[in-house]
Amino acid sequence: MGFSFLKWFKDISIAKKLYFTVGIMALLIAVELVTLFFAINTLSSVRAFVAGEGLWSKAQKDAVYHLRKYGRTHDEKEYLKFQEFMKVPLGDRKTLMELSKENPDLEVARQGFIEGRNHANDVDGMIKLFTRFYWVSYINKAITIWKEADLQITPLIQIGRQIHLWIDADVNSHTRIDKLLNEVDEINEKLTVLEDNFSYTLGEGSRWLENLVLTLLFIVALTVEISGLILAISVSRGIQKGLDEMITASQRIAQGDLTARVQPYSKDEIGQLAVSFNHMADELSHSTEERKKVEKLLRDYAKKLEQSNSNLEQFAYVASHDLQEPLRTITNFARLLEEKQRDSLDATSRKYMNYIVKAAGRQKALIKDLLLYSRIGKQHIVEDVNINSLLAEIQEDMSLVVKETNAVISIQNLPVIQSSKIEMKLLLHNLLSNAIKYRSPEINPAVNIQAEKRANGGWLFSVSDNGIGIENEFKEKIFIIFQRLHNENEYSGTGIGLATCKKIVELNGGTIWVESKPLSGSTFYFTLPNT
Amino acid sequence: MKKLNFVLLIDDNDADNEFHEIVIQQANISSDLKSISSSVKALDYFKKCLATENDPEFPVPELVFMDINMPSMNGFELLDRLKGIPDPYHRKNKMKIYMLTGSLNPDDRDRATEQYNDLVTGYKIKPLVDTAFLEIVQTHFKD
Repeated sequence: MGFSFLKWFKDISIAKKLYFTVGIMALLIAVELVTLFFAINTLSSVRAFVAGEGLWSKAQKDAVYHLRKYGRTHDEKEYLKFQEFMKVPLGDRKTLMELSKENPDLEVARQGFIEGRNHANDVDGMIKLFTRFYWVSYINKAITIWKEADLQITPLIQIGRQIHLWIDADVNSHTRIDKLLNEVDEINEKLTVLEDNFSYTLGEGSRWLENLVLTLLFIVALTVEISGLILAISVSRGIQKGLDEMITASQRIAQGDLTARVQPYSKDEIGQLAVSFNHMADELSHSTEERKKVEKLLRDYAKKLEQSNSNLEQFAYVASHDLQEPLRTITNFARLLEEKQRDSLDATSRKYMNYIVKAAGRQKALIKDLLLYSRIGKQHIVEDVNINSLLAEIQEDMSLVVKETNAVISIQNLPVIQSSKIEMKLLLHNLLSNAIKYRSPEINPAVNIQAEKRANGGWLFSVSDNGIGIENEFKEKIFIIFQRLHNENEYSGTGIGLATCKKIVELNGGTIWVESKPLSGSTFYFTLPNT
Repeated sequence: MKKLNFVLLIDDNDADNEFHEIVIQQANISSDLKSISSSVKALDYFKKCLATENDPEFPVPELVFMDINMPSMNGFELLDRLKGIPDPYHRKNKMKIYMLTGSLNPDDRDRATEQYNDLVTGYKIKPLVDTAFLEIVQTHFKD
């Protein structure tokens, strides 16, 4: 055979395997049913044959009985009865003759058996048994016996006819009749033996057939069971094996061993699953490698950042102490010099001295603001911050400026939020002091601070003033560190304040922007998310 | 050495302007000297001096010292605007513009000498001292 059944069966889909198994079972059960049906039919025919033989024998015996009685009584009725009974073996003979022909007329054969008093329902089975199983030794032998017995029927009839002739002729022929009756006895005895043999042979045959059928049924049943069992075991083992492999492999993968792979045993769904599983494992190990690479890069990057941050902190520390120290010296001694030489210094020298003091002061402010800016987020401790009381503190700190500028600050329904108090204070302080610092020269500054709850649960704060406003083109630039719009002598500042505000708002997950018209005031908005 | 007619200083820092004025005056090379303390005002000046052929109130400078870090419009932005000013008398090329800045950032130097080399002649770090100033004049203003 060119192809291996086992290999083919291994590689077809599980559904097909199941269909195949069920199909095989169904076929075998059908075979069993057919066998059973056939066996029952055949056995029933054998029974009918035996019954037919019984009728044949009984009729023959009854015929002989009535012939003898006729011989004794000369009663015509007895002869008629003899003739009547003899019709049975004669009918059967008709069938025997017909079926022995090469092309038997089955209708004639049926007629014969019915005349032999066989039941109409049995006749077809009996004919089939005769024609189909002629080759079976038991049937063959039984038919031979039947033929032999049938040979005795003609002499019996002839004898009956002779006796009838004699009695009809009223010839006193007791001795001759007796002689003929003796012949009848002989025939009868012969027939008795043949009848026994016939029954015996058919009995043997039917027992043989029974055994045969039982054996056959047993073999078929056994085949059904064994093939069913083998198929079920092989299918379930195939599935089990494939699944076991996959369970083991996935457990290994779950434990982190990404080299685990499955050996695909077949090309069915389990095999396909195994291939997909391997594919998935490849992808997984590939992406894990990638992820590890990226993680390593990130770690390295984080390390570098940490390094650079700590350098910055170091710088901030240096800036706060070491950079300020020479500055202090400059300021202090410039002041001392100014005081000491107050009377002898001319206007130019005083101006120069003033440049020195102012520049040093500005440097100090720059360093302070830069330090504040760089420290944002360092101590980000989230707590309940009451913005109302926070603004009260800020106003307290700014009271001098507020008084000097006649600023009016109105505060409306401000919430308690979750954030860092230090950061919120720096943010609002910067915005409020900007609002006052960039005031219009003609009018007193008015600042309005309010907050409203947003649909997403966060807050929208606004700080609006009536100051000088901002040109459209600078609305983004002002939030960049060191970007200033004015000369130092117009509005002093470090260019760090709004950058600080932006850093704080963004650190808290919000956004900050400004809406303004030059000369008619600005409104700074910032959002804080729901915390 | 040739004498200059007019030197213009553009810087938002008044102290720096005053210092540079003194340095230039002491060199005694330029007959006229002016300092402008904001880029917006400087732009205005350029517009005026380039628009007329010879306005004694707004003379065209022979040498300009321009700061980079200035509020609202930095030196580079000023140069961009300057490019856009109409120049009917072709006098932009006669101005020698030097960037004079406190920026130690090499990116600023590259930007000035590469990206703006059509307008910018040189790049100097503050403060401008007399030797540097004399060197500039000797290089660009021979008889």
